[in-house]
Amino acid sequence: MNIYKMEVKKGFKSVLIWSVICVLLNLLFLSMFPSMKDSGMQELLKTKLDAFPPALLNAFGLDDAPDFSKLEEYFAYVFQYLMMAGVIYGGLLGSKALIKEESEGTIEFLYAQPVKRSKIVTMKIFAAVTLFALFVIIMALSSILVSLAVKPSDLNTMDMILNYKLLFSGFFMVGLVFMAVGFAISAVVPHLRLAMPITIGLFFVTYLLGIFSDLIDKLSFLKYFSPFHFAMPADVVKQGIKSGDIVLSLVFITVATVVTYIIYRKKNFRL
Amino acid sequence: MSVIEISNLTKAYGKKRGITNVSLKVNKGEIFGFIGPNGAGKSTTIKVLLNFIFPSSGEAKIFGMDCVTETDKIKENIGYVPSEVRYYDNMTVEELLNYAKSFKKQVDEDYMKELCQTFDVELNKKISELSLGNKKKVAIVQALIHKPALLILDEPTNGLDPLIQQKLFVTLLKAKEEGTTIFLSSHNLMEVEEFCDRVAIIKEGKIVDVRSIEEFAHKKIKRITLKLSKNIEKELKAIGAEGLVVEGGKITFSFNGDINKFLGLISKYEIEDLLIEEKKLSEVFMTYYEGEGM
Repeated sequence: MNIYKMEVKKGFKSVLIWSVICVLLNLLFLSMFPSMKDSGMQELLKTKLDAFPPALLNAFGLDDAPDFSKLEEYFAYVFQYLMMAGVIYGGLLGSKALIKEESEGTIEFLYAQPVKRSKIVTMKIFAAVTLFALFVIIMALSSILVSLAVKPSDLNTMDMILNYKLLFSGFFMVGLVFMAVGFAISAVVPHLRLAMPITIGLFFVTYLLGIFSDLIDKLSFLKYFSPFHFAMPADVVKQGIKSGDIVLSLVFITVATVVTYIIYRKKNFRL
Repeated sequence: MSVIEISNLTKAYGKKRGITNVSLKVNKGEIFGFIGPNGAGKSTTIKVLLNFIFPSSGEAKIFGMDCVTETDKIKENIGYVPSEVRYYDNMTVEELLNYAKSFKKQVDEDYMKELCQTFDVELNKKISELSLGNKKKVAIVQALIHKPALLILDEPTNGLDPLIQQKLFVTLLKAKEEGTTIFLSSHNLMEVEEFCDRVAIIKEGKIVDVRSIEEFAHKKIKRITLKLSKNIEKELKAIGAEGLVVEGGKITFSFNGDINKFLGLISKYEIEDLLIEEKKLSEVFMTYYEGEGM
């Protein structure tokens, strides 16, 4: 438990920073909603959007022509950018967790204590999940609060909250997938300075795979390799999270976690 | 009973670093010095003992338990001071010591306070503010708080000022009296010979020699430098000169035989210069290894 507590304590500051930035962004996006709804922006936007090639619309999650005068659809659109930042944060929580101790040499302290390597991994996973959950909860609460303020009177509050719950559950799920993969990266990379570029690179590569899968029918199988597309906000508000995507996420998480344990238990620490 | 038992341990590791067929036994209650130049394999051996790295072949046991499979049990009774202390920068010294404490079954609070005083550790300072030497002091306190049965110290004197070095050895000797076994590495035999019971010399990953310090550390030996017109190497060897080196007309050698014989021999020649020094055998011992590229 002491490792868990220490990990949470060490990561607390970063959660606060990420939360503050994302909450502010969210606030900015949502505060634009009333003007979006009232000023006939939707018409304007629609004409402009129709002029774009479909591939581009797809790339930005605009293909199904979201109705920006509806709060949920507007939010789902802006939310996908926050979600990108958020799942990258989840991935980084994982990919830094193990290798940081090696690159900074602190493993020489930690592993000189009477602990098993597997326990170090377990405690760090618990701590990272806790921190990420905290981040998601802060984001969800702040989104709901702000949305209540800008919500049109005809929108049922309960419906809105349920919709948000779905969006944030998807966000949490995708975040955990990237975190689990991040942990596997952390067990493998030779140095901490590689953890961040590899994680961010992996996110964008898989995200692009997901977009290709939408654009080119032959490549549709690629969507299984883009965790972000397991819970694409625009789809989630319309269709919910598909059970197949949940299963796929669990498979990714399980495989990555098993790989993490196997490698970490046998690795020579680089000191 | 052996506290540490290393048999035929090999670790292939990078290009040059690593150890080959290292075998060692460290007995209960002794201070065992592990001596060798930087890069000889001291830290590699210690890292295998603590399971930071896995052996390529051979095995190591501590308290009769396997260093790979039972490392967590072994570590309940080990204190470790790394050669280069790197701790969590954002923590204060107190937080770090408390963190270390949280892993141990039993910590004697009074002893911990006493250690902090002895080593002059400032509890409320941040780790990032500490100099290398001060970090090392924290590491020493951290390694001792649970009164472990075995202390493993990797170059413990590195970065410590002479006063603290002395305090360290006083503390170690006290721990030894209470039955603690101490395994310490150093690149300088002279520095530790006063405190060690036995030493192993390691060079290029291989154990060169294991000796009891009493065998040679306190014995004195004469180191003679002689300059004369004629080369009398053979004659000197005949009366027991060892480690002869001839350089620029000077002959340097170690001599432990009858000084009268030596004086009788050289009186026959015209002497330009003569220097007789008294050296500890261990110093001579070191120079041999240095001469071989140590």
